[in-house]
Amino acid sequence: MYRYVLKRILMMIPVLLAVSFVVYFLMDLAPGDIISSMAPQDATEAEIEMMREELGLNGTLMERYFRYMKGLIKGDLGMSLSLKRPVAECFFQRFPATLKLAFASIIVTLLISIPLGIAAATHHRSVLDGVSMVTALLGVSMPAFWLGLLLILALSLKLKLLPSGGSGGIQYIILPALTLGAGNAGHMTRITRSSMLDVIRQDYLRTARAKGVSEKQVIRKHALKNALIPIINVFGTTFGNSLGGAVAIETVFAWPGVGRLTVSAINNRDMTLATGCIIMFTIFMNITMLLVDIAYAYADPRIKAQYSN
Amino acid sequence: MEENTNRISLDEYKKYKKRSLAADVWHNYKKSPSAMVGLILIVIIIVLAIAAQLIYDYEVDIVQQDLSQRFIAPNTEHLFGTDQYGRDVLTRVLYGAKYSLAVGIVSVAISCAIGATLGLIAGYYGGVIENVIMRFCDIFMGIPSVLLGIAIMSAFGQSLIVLMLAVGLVYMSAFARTARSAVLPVRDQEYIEAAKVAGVSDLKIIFSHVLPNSLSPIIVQVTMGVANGILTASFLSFLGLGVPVPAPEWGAMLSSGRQYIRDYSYLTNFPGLAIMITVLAFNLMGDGLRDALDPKLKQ
Repeated sequence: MYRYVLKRILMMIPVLLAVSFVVYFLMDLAPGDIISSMAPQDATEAEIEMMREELGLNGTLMERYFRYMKGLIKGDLGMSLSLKRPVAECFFQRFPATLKLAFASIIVTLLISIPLGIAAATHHRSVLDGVSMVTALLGVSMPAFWLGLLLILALSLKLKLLPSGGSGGIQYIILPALTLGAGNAGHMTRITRSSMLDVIRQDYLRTARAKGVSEKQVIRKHALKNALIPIINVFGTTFGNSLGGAVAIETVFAWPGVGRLTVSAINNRDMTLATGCIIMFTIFMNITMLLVDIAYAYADPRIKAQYSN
Repeated sequence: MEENTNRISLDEYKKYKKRSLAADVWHNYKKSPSAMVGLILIVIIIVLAIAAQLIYDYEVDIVQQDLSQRFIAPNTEHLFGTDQYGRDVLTRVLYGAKYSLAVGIVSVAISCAIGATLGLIAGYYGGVIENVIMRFCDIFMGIPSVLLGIAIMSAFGQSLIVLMLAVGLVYMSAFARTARSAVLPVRDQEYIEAAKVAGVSDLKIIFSHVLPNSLSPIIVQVTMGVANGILTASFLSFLGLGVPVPAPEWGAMLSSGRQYIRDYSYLTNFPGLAIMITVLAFNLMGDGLRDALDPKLKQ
């Protein structure tokens, strides 16, 4: 089992290094020289060069990248120009909010998609099946940011039930989590339904029915347990998607997470902050997905058996 | 030697074979009402998008402001109402179809051309080449799509072309994975081995023997990819990082109507609806194509 964990970690390191290089390289291409906007009008060539050195912006791309990565390992991602604070500090202040939103949205996704998918599969080709599949399809096709605006309009501006944005108590997380969770639920409902349909046709279900097990028991005990395997299988990816989606939906609800921080950094042309946010978020997302996968491997006897000799 | 009168030329054979595959798929496809709805919707949207280009003048009908006509609620003269600058929303929504369609289709062409080729090569050769290509794709898979899109847009600046490129790169790896797993069952078939023994070049084997036999999942991915591409592009525009204003891109329209949502929610609802219907149409078509290409999968 250690071999599996070790293998996964070793495989992730080069990917993370490459990912951070791609992001660093892209953000380096972004127009707008920080020095020229920071330096006073009458600064001499030499003074500008000195500033460049102080900020760690001198040298070739590779030199700067290696310096950046050295800093990253020490937890130093440079200073944010717009917030006048260390980038790492800004990031870690915002990251928990994004994580919280991602968790809440997964709960919403599972609460919607699993019952809906099972109901659709057990009532195959019925009206219920049709309605839930159409709903799922609409969920997949609907732009999440528009769904968010519709929910704000209905639940917050018209009915005045929930705040339209910001953060604070539990009432603030409901709308963003609902928006993100409902969006992902479309996809998940389809997976649940098709996996349940696969299981329902298996011989062991026929055997169970023939033994006289009640229909309720057949679905709950025999079908559901097996149907959930593919869903648990993609849980790491689902969590990654939720984190990625959380970053996107934050701007709609003024949710104080990493996504909103990144977008406002880009709008303020604060590239140090934007680069740091994207690289750190990507690293944390991949680590989280890896942890979920490892936890799953421990729970799944098949993977365990593969690696224990 | 006796001349075989039943022989047809290779060209004729190819034509016959191609037609029969397409006809086969069409035969299955048209049986599904939802798939047909998707196809008809796509045709209508494309026709409307082209018509809007021919009828409306960009300067006069799309961007020119008329402040005396601000915020007119939907009525018979302005079916979708007018926006905060007095511009007709219906006209802008119709004209804006071209951005979403163009980004969706071109970006998928980019991601399919690069991604599927990489996937085919990876799947066909296997070994070290496969490992290198797939780890390269992991890099792009590892970055959340919205953040990757943001990074590319801020690197190369906002324009329609960059948006297409950004969305194309975001989804490239998905194509590589699909193509690779589609190739794997084909790779070890006897006819591939036969072609190798006959001395056919690898390039020719990949494109004329492997590709046609692993095409189905790629075709499905293309239609679904257009849908995802439109969603991602409109979101980037919503963030102000896509097609620059005052172009009537749907995501950008949603974003600019957002501050008036309390009183003039139609400003966000019509562009939102337009995005949803277009994406829905491509999703319906993708579902239909998947069933038509592989009837075994149909449940």
